[in-house]
Amino acid sequence: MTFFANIYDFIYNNLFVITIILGLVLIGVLIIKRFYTEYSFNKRLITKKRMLRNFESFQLKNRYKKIMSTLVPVVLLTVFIGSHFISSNNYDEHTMMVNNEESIFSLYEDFNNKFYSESVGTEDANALGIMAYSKNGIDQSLKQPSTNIDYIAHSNNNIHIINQDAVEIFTLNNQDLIHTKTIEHNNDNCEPNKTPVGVFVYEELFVTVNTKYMSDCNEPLFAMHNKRVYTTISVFDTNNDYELIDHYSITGHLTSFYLHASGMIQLTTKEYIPLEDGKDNVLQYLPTINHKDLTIQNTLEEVRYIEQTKPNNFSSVVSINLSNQSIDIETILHDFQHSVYQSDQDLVFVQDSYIFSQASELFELKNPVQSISTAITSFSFTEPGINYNRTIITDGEILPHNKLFSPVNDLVFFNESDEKIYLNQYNSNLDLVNKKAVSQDIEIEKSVLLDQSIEIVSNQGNYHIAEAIDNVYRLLDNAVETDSAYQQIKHINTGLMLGMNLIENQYIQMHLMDNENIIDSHMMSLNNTTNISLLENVIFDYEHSYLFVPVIETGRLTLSSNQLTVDIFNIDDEINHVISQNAFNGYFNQPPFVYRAIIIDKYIIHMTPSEIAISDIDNLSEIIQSIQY
Amino acid sequence: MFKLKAPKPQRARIREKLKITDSKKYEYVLTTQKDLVEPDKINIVFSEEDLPKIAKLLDAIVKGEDVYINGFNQQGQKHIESRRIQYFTIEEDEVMAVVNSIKFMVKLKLYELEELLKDKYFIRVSKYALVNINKIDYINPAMNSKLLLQMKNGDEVEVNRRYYKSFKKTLQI
Repeated sequence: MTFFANIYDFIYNNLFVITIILGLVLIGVLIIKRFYTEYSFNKRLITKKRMLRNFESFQLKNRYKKIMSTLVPVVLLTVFIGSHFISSNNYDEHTMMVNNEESIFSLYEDFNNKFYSESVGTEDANALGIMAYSKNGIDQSLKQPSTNIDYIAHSNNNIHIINQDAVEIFTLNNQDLIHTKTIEHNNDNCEPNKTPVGVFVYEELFVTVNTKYMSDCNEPLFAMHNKRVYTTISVFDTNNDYELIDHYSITGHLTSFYLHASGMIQLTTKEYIPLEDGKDNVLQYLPTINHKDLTIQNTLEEVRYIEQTKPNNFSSVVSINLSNQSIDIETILHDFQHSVYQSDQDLVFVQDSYIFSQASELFELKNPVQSISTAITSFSFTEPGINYNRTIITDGEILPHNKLFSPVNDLVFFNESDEKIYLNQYNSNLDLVNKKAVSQDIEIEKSVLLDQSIEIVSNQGNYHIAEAIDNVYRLLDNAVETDSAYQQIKHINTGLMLGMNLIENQYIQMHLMDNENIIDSHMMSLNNTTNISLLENVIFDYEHSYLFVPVIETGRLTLSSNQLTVDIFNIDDEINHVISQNAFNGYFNQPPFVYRAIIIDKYIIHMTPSEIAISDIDNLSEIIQSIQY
Repeated sequence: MFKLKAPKPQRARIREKLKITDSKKYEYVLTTQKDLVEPDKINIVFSEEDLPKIAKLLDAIVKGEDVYINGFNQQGQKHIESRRIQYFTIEEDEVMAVVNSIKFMVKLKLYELEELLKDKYFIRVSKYALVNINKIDYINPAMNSKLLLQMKNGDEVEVNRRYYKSFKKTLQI
């Protein structure tokens, strides 16, 4: 029944085209029939004449002329139809340069004509265009970018914490915590239009990375999604009372950020191109960097389009050297929905590449997409700037919400069970895993390891791994306990990993391990704490044997709460492991972080989004001082 | 009219030189071997060296068997070899014989001509036309199950739907 319904849908939606095609076929049949009749009659005429011993030879030229006059329309028709089946886009190693606005618009129209089919019950093509805009457009919230920057940063005795649209700076002087400065990003009384998303310290410089919306004070907040978005980098001099000494502004949403030890920043931004409004505005969405009086931008001739991706977004790849202020930019045209992975030397974009059925060139099809592949585009960062490496297209489709467990380099990250490709980093290589779920087990169909130049270095397949628990994080197959799974694995500054499982809401099983072995193992009971959450910000200081596990007393992470209790455990003492229980001022809705702790000298600094506190490492029960902000 | 009987290796070569094709209904048997003669036919036995002479003989036979038609026009009466006539047609109730671009009035009815020339190379193609097969230059099929005969003098004669099948049969299609 579905088959016939599909046939009906197809005929209903393509009545005009089908009529034309049927007409053409009919004409073709008639022409061929006429040609055959003509040929057979004249052939018999020649034979008959010879029987009658007529010596006049048949005029061959005349016959060929007749045949040609019959065949030419057929040949022209074939050429006409054939030309529609041959793609006019010529890709060089899966990319092509776009040249001008016209060619971008033509790519967009060509792609959408095939991608968005009209079927029974749908409205006009414009409605589909709006839907596409809504689904993929700029009103979609920016996900947490793949970065190695943080919401807090400290150097020497200075601690910097992002506090909504400002940065709070504290200085530790012996055991005194002093609030030294607040860096405000918005100096007017309007709605905030500039938000810090990360901070770091490089040598004597303090740097904030911000998202900035172009708006004026008179516009309501709900209109923000229509505004241009900029990623800005502000550089402050820590030796000169945090004076602003440099500022960079890049168009687009921040999608990834990586700070090299050399002080070089590599980042990516993306910006949706509203081509549904026409081609006139394309140039204004071309990514730019502004630094002082200098504006850098690629020309359209330098922009690469990634083969058969949705051409609805410009992504910029930017390098900024904090030491010598050199900047560079590369631009690609591809799908707004993509993932970015960064490592020390490389940057990789991963996006869907669509293969359309040939008939979609001519017809409105219900399922025009024949298959979806994954296009992987790699760039490398070497002084003085960025180099485009190559693009490959591989079988399989990557999940849109797949992301790297950044900045960890040696974990494989699985999320939902599906027949999809998962892309991860492993020892600076990219690990492509094609897997499907078999009941509760995960069966790896294909695991491909790519090196930094996205060449395949190894290929594995057909093996089973851990039981499928929601959000399973697991070590790669050469790591410890290949058959076990952890509900959460944390990467620790010392290069070790901590795997934790909550068992029957009573115990936390913890394994401290390196890539090869389990170094330490603990089972802790959690009396009366049935609502424990294993939060993202667990800090473990192995040398001091202290483990901090935040315990939320009320509510969940995303709900409002003004109470946060932190239990401090001594993992060397399995019997009396709870050393202290400290309560801190809570946090606001959807905070960037809930609780963080760092150790400076012999002090532990506790941080929540609204409070900073200090305690002595030898007396964990006593909070020496706390400051609310 | 003719049937060639010769050993297989010779047959194609002789047929090409004499420019003949075997007919189902034939009166003359051409052969290079005496034992292949047919008693109830006129047999011509020859050797391959005599082929040029045999070709002239066949021409003479074809011409000698031709039918002559009396035609009239402003210049007077003419005795016309039927093989020179392109076609017969009816114009203003008169039967006309078309020889190249000249037309002659013929005092026979069209069906009488058809009967007279039925064993020759003429074929009825419509109520109004009788056509010399040898003078058809090209056959053009039309879309409405008709045929247009392009004659050697440039005229076009239509094969009527009613005569389509008999025309096909004559050409053995």
